[in-house]
Amino acid sequence: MWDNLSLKEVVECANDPYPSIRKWAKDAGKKVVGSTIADVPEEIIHAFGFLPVTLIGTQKPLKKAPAKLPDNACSLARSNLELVMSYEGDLFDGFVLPQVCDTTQHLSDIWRINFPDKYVESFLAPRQADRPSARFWVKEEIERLLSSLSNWTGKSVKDEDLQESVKVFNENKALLSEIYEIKRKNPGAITNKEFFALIKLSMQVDKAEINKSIKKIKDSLDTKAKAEGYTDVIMVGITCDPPEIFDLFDEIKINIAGDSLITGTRYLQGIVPDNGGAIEALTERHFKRGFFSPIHDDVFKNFEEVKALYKATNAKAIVYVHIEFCESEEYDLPDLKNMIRKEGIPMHVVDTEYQTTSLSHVRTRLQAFFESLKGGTL
Amino acid sequence: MSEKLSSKQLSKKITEEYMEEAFHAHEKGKLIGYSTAISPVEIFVAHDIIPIYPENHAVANLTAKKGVELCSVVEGMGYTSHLCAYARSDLGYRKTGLTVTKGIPDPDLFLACNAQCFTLTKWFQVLSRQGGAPVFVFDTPEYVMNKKAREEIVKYCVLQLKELISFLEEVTKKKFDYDRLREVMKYSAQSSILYRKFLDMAQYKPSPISIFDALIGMAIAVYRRGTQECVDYYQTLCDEIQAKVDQGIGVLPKDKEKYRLYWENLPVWFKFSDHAKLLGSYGGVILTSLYVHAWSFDFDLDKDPLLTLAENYVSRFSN
Repeated sequence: MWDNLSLKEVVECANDPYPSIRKWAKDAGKKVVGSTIADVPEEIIHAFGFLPVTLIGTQKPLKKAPAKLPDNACSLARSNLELVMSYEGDLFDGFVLPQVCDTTQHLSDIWRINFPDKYVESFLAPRQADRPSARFWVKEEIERLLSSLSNWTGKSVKDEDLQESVKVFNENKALLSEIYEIKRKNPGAITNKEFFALIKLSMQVDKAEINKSIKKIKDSLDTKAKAEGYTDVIMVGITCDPPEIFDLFDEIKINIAGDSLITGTRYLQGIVPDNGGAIEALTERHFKRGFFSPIHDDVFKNFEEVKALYKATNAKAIVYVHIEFCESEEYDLPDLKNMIRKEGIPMHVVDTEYQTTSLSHVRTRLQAFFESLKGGTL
Repeated sequence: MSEKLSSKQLSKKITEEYMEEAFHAHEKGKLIGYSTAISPVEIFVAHDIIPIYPENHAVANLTAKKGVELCSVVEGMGYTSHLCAYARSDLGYRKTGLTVTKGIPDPDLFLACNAQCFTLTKWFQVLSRQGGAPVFVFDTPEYVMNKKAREEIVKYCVLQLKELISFLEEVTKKKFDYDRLREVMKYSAQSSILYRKFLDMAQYKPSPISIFDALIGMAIAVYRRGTQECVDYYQTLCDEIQAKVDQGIGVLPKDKEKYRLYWENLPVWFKFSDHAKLLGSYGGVILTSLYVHAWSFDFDLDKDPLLTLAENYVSRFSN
């Protein structure tokens, strides 16, 4: 299904992966477990024989979610709820939902109420990550998830099963990281839209299969062609939607050379270290990832990470993608903006929302910013 | 012998002395710790840290209808208009100094417990970036309906309370006194029992108290729990309400009390008195709300103080 995709097919499939997931699950006789972002150890779900699917919203219209979550709630949360309530709910046999902020905490309850017949488990991520107790807690939650899935399925998994899943998932992230490296050096080899579609699709489909496609795509990329006229930028945020935003970058040769997205580098940072037992290694991984607005208590850290990325990639600007109405981002953003501007780094904030149907306002503002960045008319 | 103070007089006296002490904390070798309203503040009290609740101060300004003015300033600073009005009004106060009270002293440290909401953590982080005082996040995962998970959650919270104590020892350069904590817990346990007794008096017909009395009556439990004067206040309050019950005095006379109602969550502070009058005119009395019960703790003094603190704070209705 996903083992021989071209880049064009990856983009199409990432746009709406659910028909292919449906067919694949039916053909393979596999059950599907959905998770919202972020930080659910999906390797565990996979080790139990399920297909773990990260839910990253839908572009289809909102119908039922607004009755459960108000207009000023996180638009990704509303979009995900709509996805399962109106469109794809029957595809999933269960859900493992992380709690990283108030919205995700209460979303878990809404979810549980709306799907009384399905397996719904919470992954209670620590909302402080710098003290020893956080490490204790992540390990407890990983063990609780193992036990919960075991109770549900009547099966148990061994450390070797977990290690096997980790291997496949690590390979996925390593392959994508290699392509990112190619993209940094040669932006002409793959567009922003194609690259981020590859990551998104990887988070949603069978890793063993898509790894085969990624390998072929990687080998087919033209790494020799001279890429001229590109301007590198850093993208900061949680997710970037709709994917047409990437078109706006691609059209005028703006290359995303680094990012902090959950559907980007933060996913790639999730390679599980090879240091003995799988549970310990998965715990360790939780703390190796970069800044995450809702759980880390230090915007300075975010600033330092972004600045380091900006310098390491020789980027020319930072584009911050703000999802309406992410409360955590909204408390952090004014100070982060001031810190970045004080540093003399050009910065632009793209305000976006799931279910956005028109990008003309984003286009105009981005074009004006890029024009000033390139020092003339585009 | 001086005349015994009424609960209203006692509340005023306790509040004035509390704020007076807070404004002169440094002169007395004490620190100011900003705290979320639902936080294990007993640890602060036991360590001579004066707890200050920016939420209370924000409410005073919002009730006095200063919200629009304060929030506009904050929105001009780049914060969106749909963020919590408490937070915006407080950040506006920081920028302008505008307040209907004498204000609140600046913090030396922050304690953010997310059992009530995560907004406060983010709000305190903003304040921390402005003034440089450190933030301790006491993370209380959702108290999910699973016995084993709850035991682990409590363990996680106890570990964090130990970390909190180490954090305070480091900031204050002073050893934490567990005997003092036990004493503070004793006061907290006593005042909580009395506070709940006060709230439960709404079951009488006619009810001697409404939610509006409860909202006023909860203030001392919020900012002075863990002290003898808090116990004294609720004893006085309970005695007064009991006297009303004995005389059959209700918020509305018995024959006028037609509708006994429940209020969900926070009050609309700036419409507080309008709502009381309007409902009263129709024979309606709002008796209680889970919100005011957030401070009616059930501390078990036979347990390790950190364990009973963890069990109580993680199990608040808001979590």
